[in-house]
Amino acid sequence: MTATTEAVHAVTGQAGTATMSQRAVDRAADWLSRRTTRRGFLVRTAVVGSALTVDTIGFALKPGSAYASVCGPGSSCGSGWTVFCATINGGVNACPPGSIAAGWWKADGASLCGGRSRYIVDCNALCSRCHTPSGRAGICSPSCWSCSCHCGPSGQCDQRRVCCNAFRYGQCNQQVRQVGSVVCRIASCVPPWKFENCSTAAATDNRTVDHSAPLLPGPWSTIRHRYWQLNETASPLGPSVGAEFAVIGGRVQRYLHGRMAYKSTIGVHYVAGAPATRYHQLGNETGVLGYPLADPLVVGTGRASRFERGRISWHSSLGAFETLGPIAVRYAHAGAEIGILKFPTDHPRTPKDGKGRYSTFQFGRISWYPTLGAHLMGSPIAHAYTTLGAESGRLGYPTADEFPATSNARSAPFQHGRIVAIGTQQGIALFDLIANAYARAGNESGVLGLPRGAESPVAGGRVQLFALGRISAAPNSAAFWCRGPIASTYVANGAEAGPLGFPTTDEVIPQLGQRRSTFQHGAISYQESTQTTTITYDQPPAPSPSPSPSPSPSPSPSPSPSP
Amino acid sequence: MKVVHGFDIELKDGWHVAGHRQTPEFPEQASNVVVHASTVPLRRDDGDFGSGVAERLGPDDLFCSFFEYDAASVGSALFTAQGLPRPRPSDFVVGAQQRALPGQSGAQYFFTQADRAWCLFVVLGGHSRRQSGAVRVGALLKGIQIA
Repeated sequence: MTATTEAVHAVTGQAGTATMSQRAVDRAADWLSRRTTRRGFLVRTAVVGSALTVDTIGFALKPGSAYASVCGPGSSCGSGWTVFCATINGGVNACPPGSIAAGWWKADGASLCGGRSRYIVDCNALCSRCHTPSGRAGICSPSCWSCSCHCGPSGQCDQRRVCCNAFRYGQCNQQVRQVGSVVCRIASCVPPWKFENCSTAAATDNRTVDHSAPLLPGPWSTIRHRYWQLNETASPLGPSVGAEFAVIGGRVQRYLHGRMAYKSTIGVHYVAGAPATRYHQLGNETGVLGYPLADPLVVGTGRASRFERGRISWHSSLGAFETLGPIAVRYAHAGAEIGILKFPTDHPRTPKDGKGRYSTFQFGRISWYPTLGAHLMGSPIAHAYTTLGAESGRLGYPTADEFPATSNARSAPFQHGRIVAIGTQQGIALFDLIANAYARAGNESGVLGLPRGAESPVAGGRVQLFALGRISAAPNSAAFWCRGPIASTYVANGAEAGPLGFPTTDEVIPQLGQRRSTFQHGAISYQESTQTTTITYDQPPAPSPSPSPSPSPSPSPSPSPSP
Repeated sequence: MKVVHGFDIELKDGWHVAGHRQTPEFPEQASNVVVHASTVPLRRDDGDFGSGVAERLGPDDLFCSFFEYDAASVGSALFTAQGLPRPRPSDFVVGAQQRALPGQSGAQYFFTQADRAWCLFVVLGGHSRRQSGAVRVGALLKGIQIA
């Protein structure tokens, strides 16, 4: 007796000890399949052993209760058929390790494929236990097989044989001279040559049209139809994993490389690859993102998937990161992956205050606060913002998107200041009082022009220089601006550290042709007609042989030209 | 008698023969030939590799399927054998069927004949009678010509 014979006898022996209920199920299934025009339906329902053997009449009268359990006829070990791979391969409808596709056949008019042909692919064992298998082409000696003959796992209805039948349909992997027995079978509604190394030569066996297993996708559905349109296993989703199942609000099918979800108000869409992995980490359909709203978009070297409450963007060199809620909406409005921000570089984060949220991108950042909304900033401003502590820093959250302030500068307002970026240089921040004074001066298009650098401490206060003037903030007081000839004269006289002290007003126009700035200890007036400046001290200045230097535009002696 | 496209078989007493060319389902498919020969009457819905007819075989019955593959298969490792095979009793193995049936055995032969790739699949209704079965199949094969 050969090893094959022994193995088969072993299985037959096990089949001989099959339960009476299992044998009844098979007989009933065969009987039903011969006697009804509703063959496909009744054949499937007939295999629900527990339903039939426990409550035969009830089962026959209430087929709906058993419809979900689908193994089809000949599902016992003794029936002689081979098990489905999904049953023994963790639910994956693909050849398990140690086996290869070795051939296939089709069954016509399959209800499990929406009335189309259904294709069954045999996965045969490798002859891995022999270096140079002998004998004729086709099947190697059982002693070479990478597996041994046994029945399908207990506790489910696909009890068919595993690694027992020494048969090769022959259309697949013909470069492999010999294979072992059939380990298991793949079911597909797409022809095998589209996803395996198989030829197109079709063999037909319509008796197997309703063979199935609990971990195969199940009855034809919206999800199954979409998967079929995508070429099933040949799609980015790969082979199915387990059966379609219900989740809150809809239905889902898992695949080796993703998942597909159906919701009546949305339709059916899939998520695949790295975005699917991240989607899973975030709780899938019942998580923060909700159901997918569209199939993945190919964006350059990356992909993007949209969801009810966000988006996942994947870039080959960055990874997959989500954007959520208002940030995702703002990101989409900004063109998402093909907009100015490009791809996200991290998951959304919550600042130390625990109230807002932000996402970082290749070329910028979006920050969100409940009462302020989500606002966008590009790289130069975002870099400056990050350097200053971002949402947790002095500036707080943005109150509007960045915008083009002048022909070569962009600006973004924050709760406690402003950042101005000139060209591609890192942005310059203006804080609180200085930012307020800058606003009074007309901001970037106003009389001061663009900032020339960050604020710096001076004489206990702060000063920030601009192209056409300066803003000085006295300790524990307000900030005021001065410009042009007045600013030049102010600097020439020691500025904030000089005898005039800090400004106490912005520059004003007391009368036509005249400008005036008031300081803690005096004032500077500028007469436009004569282009002269006049300093008036409240008290005579104390002798000061060497005024301390001040960061400022070059001192301009009086009289001076107007700016 | 000519059965189908390039496949001729000399019909012997007690044998039933049926053959057809495949109807392509997809443009990339070819119209390959399938020929069945059996000692039991053949049915239209019998599977190409004997599903259905195998269940009807008695212990003395035989079934043969000649299944043609795509032209591109010629030259592959699976089809290196040239010419029609000569079955031997030891070729037949219990469980060598896509559906193993009690008492039966099967044998497969992949070969190339006339630059066409084929599989001959033989089912013996009774494995215990493989000695005579092999002889009867051999006699059948002597009357086959593939062009």
